Amino acid sequence: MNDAFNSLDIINKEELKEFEESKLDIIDIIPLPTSKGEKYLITYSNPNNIFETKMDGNRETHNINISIASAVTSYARIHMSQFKNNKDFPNLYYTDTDSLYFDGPLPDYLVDPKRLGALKLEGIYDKALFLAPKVYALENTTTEEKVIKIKGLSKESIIKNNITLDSLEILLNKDYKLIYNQRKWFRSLTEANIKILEQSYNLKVTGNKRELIYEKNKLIGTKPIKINLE
Amino acid sequence: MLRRTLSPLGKFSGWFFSEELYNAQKYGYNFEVLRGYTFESDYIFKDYVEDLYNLRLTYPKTDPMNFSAKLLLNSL
Repeated sequence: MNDAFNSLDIINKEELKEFEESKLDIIDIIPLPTSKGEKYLITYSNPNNIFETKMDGNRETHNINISIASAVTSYARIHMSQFKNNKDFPNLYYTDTDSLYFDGPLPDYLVDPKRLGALKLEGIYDKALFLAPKVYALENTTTEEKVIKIKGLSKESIIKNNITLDSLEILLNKDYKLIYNQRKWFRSLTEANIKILEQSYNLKVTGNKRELIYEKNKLIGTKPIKINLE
Repeated sequence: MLRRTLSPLGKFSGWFFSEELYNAQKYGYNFEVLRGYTFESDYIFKDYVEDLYNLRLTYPKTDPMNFSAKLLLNSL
């Protein structure tokens, strides 16, 4: 494993000298003016980590075990695989890690909000739009319950930009995109202030996980990506 | 180089957990083993998870013990 995590420290002038004379890679130094003289926020990494950190026989302890972590996520994927392309279950439209969206109910034996490992029914909607991983809109037209999730766009921004399921639907057309504005907070330690900046957010359907299927320039589904490494 | 989890079709090579390969076999995938590591296998989380989950169920959502048990499960 290549432990590429940077280290972060607050140091004084003398320590900064030691850092500069050491073999460490200094990535960033931010001066922090304090009443007791100048201090520095230093971001650095140890170039030796790449060589010292190996699967076995390493000198450092990270208290992690890749084989166990891999097995856990792998068992999760195995568990979720039963719900995909399964003719015994309703059609699956969207899934992410631990969630599934079908066009009908699952058998009772799979659903139990209290049983460990069983599924919990989170909601029923009659309109749903799935545009990309972590980008979707759900609507129950009877109860008027609405869910809109767009990764990277805050709840406030979703409301401010008047984003609705209907307004997102045009993204199903090929090459369409929507541009939203989002206010983001940026903290500057050197200037000792917080700036609120307006940023634009580009939203379009994405298919880097699966291939997008278009019919008459309209997105109608996805299929697995085909790889051919000979 | 594409660096993300994919569930592709076709022919590709990589490092996989054997259990996931046996599962993929059920769906028609074929594979050839080039090399691998073997590990001891055991239920290392079962007792911990079952005990804490059962403990959590004995407290209502409003009880801090419920939240504590939840945190201990999520931090595993």
